[in-house]
Amino acid sequence: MNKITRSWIVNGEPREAEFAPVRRLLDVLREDLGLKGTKEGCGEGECGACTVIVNGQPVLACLMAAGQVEDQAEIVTVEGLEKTETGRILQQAYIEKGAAQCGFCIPGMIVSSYALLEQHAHPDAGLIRESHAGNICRCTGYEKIVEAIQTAAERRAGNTGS
Amino acid sequence: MSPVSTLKTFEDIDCTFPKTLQEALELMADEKTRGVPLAGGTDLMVQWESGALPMPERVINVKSIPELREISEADNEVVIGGSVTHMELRQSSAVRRAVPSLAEAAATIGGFQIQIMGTLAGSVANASPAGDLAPSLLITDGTVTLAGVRGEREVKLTEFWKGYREIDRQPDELIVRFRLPRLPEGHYESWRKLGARKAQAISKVMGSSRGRMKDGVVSCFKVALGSIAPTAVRLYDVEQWIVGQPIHDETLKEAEQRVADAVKPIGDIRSTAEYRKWVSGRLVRLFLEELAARSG
Amino acid sequence: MKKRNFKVVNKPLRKIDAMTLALGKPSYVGDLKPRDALIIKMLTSPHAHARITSIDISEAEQMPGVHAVLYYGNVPRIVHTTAGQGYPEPSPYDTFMFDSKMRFVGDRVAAVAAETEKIAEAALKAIKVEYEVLPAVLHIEDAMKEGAPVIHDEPEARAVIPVPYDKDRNMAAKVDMDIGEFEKGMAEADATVDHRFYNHYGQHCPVEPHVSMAWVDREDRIIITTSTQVPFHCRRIVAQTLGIPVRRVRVIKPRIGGGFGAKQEIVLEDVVAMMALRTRKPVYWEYTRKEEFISARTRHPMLMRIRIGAKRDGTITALGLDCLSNTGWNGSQGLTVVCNCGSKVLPLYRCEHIHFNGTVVYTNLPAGGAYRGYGATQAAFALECAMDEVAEKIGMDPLEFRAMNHIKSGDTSPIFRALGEGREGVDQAITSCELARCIKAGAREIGWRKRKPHSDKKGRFRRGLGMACLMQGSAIPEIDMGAATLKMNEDGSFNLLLGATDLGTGSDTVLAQIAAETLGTDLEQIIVYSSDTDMTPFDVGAYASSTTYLSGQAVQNVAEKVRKQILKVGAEMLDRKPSEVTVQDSKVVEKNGEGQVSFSEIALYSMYNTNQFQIGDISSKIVHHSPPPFAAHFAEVEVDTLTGRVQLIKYVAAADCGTPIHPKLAEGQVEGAVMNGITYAMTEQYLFNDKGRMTNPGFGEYKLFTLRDLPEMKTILVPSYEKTGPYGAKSIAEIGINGPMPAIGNAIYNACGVRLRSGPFTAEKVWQGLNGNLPEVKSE
Repeated sequence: MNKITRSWIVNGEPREAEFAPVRRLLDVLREDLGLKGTKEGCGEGECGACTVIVNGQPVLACLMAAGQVEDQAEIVTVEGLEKTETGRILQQAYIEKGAAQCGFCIPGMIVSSYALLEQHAHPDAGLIRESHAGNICRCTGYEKIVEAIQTAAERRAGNTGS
Repeated sequence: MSPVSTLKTFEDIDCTFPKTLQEALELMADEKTRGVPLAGGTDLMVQWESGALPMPERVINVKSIPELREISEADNEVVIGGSVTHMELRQSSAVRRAVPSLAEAAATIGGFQIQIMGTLAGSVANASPAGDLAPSLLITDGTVTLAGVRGEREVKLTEFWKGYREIDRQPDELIVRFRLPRLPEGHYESWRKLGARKAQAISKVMGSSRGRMKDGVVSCFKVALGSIAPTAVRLYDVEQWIVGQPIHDETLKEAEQRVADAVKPIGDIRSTAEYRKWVSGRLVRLFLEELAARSG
Repeated sequence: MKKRNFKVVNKPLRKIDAMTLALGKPSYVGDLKPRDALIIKMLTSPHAHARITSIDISEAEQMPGVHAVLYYGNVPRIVHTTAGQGYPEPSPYDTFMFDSKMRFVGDRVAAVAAETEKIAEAALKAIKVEYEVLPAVLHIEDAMKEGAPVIHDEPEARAVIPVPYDKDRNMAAKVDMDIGEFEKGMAEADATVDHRFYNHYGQHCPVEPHVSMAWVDREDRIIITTSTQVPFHCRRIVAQTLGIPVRRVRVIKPRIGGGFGAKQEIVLEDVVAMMALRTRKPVYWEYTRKEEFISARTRHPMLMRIRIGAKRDGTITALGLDCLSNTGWNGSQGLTVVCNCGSKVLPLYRCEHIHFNGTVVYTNLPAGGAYRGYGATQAAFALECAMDEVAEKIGMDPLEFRAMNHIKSGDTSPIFRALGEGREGVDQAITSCELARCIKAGAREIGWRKRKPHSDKKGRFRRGLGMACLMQGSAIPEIDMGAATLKMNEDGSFNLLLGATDLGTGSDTVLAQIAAETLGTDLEQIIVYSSDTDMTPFDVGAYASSTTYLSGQAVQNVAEKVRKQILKVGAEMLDRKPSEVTVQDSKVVEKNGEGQVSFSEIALYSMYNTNQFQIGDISSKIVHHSPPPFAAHFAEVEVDTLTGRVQLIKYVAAADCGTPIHPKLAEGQVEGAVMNGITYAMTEQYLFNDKGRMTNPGFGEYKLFTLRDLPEMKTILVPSYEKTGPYGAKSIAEIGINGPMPAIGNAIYNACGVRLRSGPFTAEKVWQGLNGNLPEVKSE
């Protein structure tokens, strides 16, 4: 098998990885790049625990062939959020609102929140729900997660004055 | 051969990354370089993993071929590239104007992540009886264009799905674009999916319609349903019968009955045959009610 | 309720692990996997019931990269139960690490440990197995029929406590209870109901599936790191199953990605331990989602007969419940789950004549286990729907009927003694019950006053309201034990070592709050470690709604002891008697005077200065009460009569959990449990083909609600003060899951007159009901 090499910007830092082209992005991130934050909950694209951001868009790392992520692509995983203002605001809000119980879905959930807030400064309730409909949480009943996202959106909008 | 080398995983799949359509078609032309076209992977990766489909030797990444990613509007139609994603379909004002039910259907597929990854050609080629986009494509009477190195071929969408998970595509062809006649003035479309839950529901029954009322009667009506047969289907008999009829309780009842008589669904893990038959009629009734309401 | 001034408890402080989780730091078993770990994969039975007539592992064993293959021929054959329960277990011993008899589609045939997942998968394919396929028991009602295939025909299978067990008739357990004269009570009634209800299969679906790893250390001990709710039971059962002393096993619980009861079970650990011993390498085994559905554990499906008699004035004259429980291929938790159907549900209403029977049968289907609600979920569905049906017959508002009859503070119930956990229970009077206020608050929130009978409703979309009342318990009295160790450090911080296992509930935070409150210090000063069988004291683990109530009291006890030690040293330093000083804000201060010393100064003094000793202690606790939390749930639904689809509009849960130690976490427990109950009621179900194979083992076809499906939810905590609990607390984690089936079922009836007696509440069933041809209630 011919392996391929890709150079990405992962969480703001240049990273290079060599892998079989259809190796799942999830495995490249967790095993090859050692980013254990991103989780596998089902391996069939249903639970969203493996959500990461590729070029600004949330995708499922368990269904994405890593080779499809082109050179110079920007990847953001849960580990990268604390380097961003939106990420820090979200983390704070998730913590304050008690949005994390077991926490296993949180890396995917909060990355979906990040993708949402980066694209929509003022998401309404419907958009918040729809944009997280691909992320299953079995612990919280989602209430506290919605509160956290709403709080983060308000704070972020306040900070940027937008 | 040792059992290890006969067992295939994702990492045993070869992959090529053509930059242009021409390059892709050349790869597809030769059996030695041909591969399964891979775009969003939202159906294929799951089916390979579960064993529902065998792992292929090779795939061709068609996700980033620029020619396949365009949406354009012509006088009477919208032209949509095969690698346009569900998210792009639902967000495109051109699609929402021309085939509103297609944009609506795309918005009900999976969560945002799946919508961002999955593509129109991928959904069509997956050819699931429960494919969400098929009914909206069928009611447009549009076409799908397939390309090979020998040239292009245009196939009516109503003739494209040949049977259960079977499409009219030659091994060397790629699905490149869809030409969908736009919703004419005074016509309305409806779309509904009945599933177990809203998010990521794979449906029990779903469908789309496009129609018009004029002078108090139905002057045009096209309706297609999914999940009730090996492929999504148009209900031509029902369409023909309703044209010229006014919409009131009696004709609605009759339409409902005719739909139920026309469809021959099966029972599976998502629903029963009896329920699907009944609710198919109810769905078409609902479409007609909506048409009447919107036509004022 | 009198107002108490707490400093740390009853406050929504930051969950102590929240930052770690929000940052996505490696915390779970899968994050800790060593790079060189061998991967374990399991070959499973394609048949529901079969005997292996030949098995050849030689080719698999010889494959490069394969380090070991385990099957019944090369491991000890030691009968045990997989149920993580106290010893001796109330669950029958009916399971082996491997066996030649296959008892369900998914049963263990052989395990491979190999250098890669691919090699392991290939090795499974190289194992040659021939089966003699046997007739299978695939329906709950067939299990005890004359001539039914015997599932546990091995001589070793037995009950280990004196309870009815008849493996020759596929009976895994049985319990009977009669109080008063049930038939007489029925005869005295003006109106009676007698109906069958069925609770379907359901799975916990923790987002992290079962996952375990193990290695053998230089002292030849097996170190198991595993996602478990019961590290100490795990250690004991693994040692038993491998035939080695407990001292050779250490079980470490890191973060758990959800449990809900699924991980109160030894599902992977025996095999990872055996593999580690066999290969002398680190080994790792993680269930796929499909395996999680099929081979982990489920909610015991039950077919129930409920009978209630009532007088026109609202008096309940008779209450009868017969439960036929399907425990699947093994008897894990079968007896105790069915006991809970009686003990955690029937005491809710005052009644003189009570009949209860629970019969647990083996089938060749996935095994039941512990699952949040634990029997109360099943029985609450039958009882609370039937309560509505009786109320309608006697012409009473179902709310008034419940309010009139429910148990109140000071009441007792003969059921508490009659039904324990496989043995006699413990008498208790209710010491705190704010159910009446829960009903009032919930009714106000849902708008109960606007409720009209279904016969008044017309049109395509019809709305309806329904309710249910609930109770549970708090720990298992006189059986469960929790313990805690607390020691002081130089800076005035404390290590709190807990056998109790935080499975995501936030119990580490709750227990740290109790310690901090008792010690008179801040939450930040408490460093929690849970759990590790080498380091932390024994605790039965996280189940039976026990952690806050039981382990919380162990923590309170040890903190009180340590507080005394601190006071003694502080007094010595201040040259006072211990009675003349007290603790306040991490200091020992003179009651009448200015003198004070900080905890840090005290710790340094005790370690380095005079009469040195380690300030610290260990305490354990058993409880003599199991005070029930109470709840009233309300649901509003909209039925689309055009399609039969039910949409849940609003759900209100009002709960009395005593004084919540951490109100936000308590709310989170209610919300999570309620949502789990809602999806069980609305969409979740196991589908089987006629050979007993589950046909929808994945989230693609086993539907969980996501954020898009979320109804309007309202959680109301109605505080009480449970005097036997730590700082007034009782349990909250389980009760919420019991309400949605009956509350939504009652709301559907109120909307459209269709009474659904089995879940999930699909459009198909409503449609059948609207057409008057709903089939008889039956199992999957």
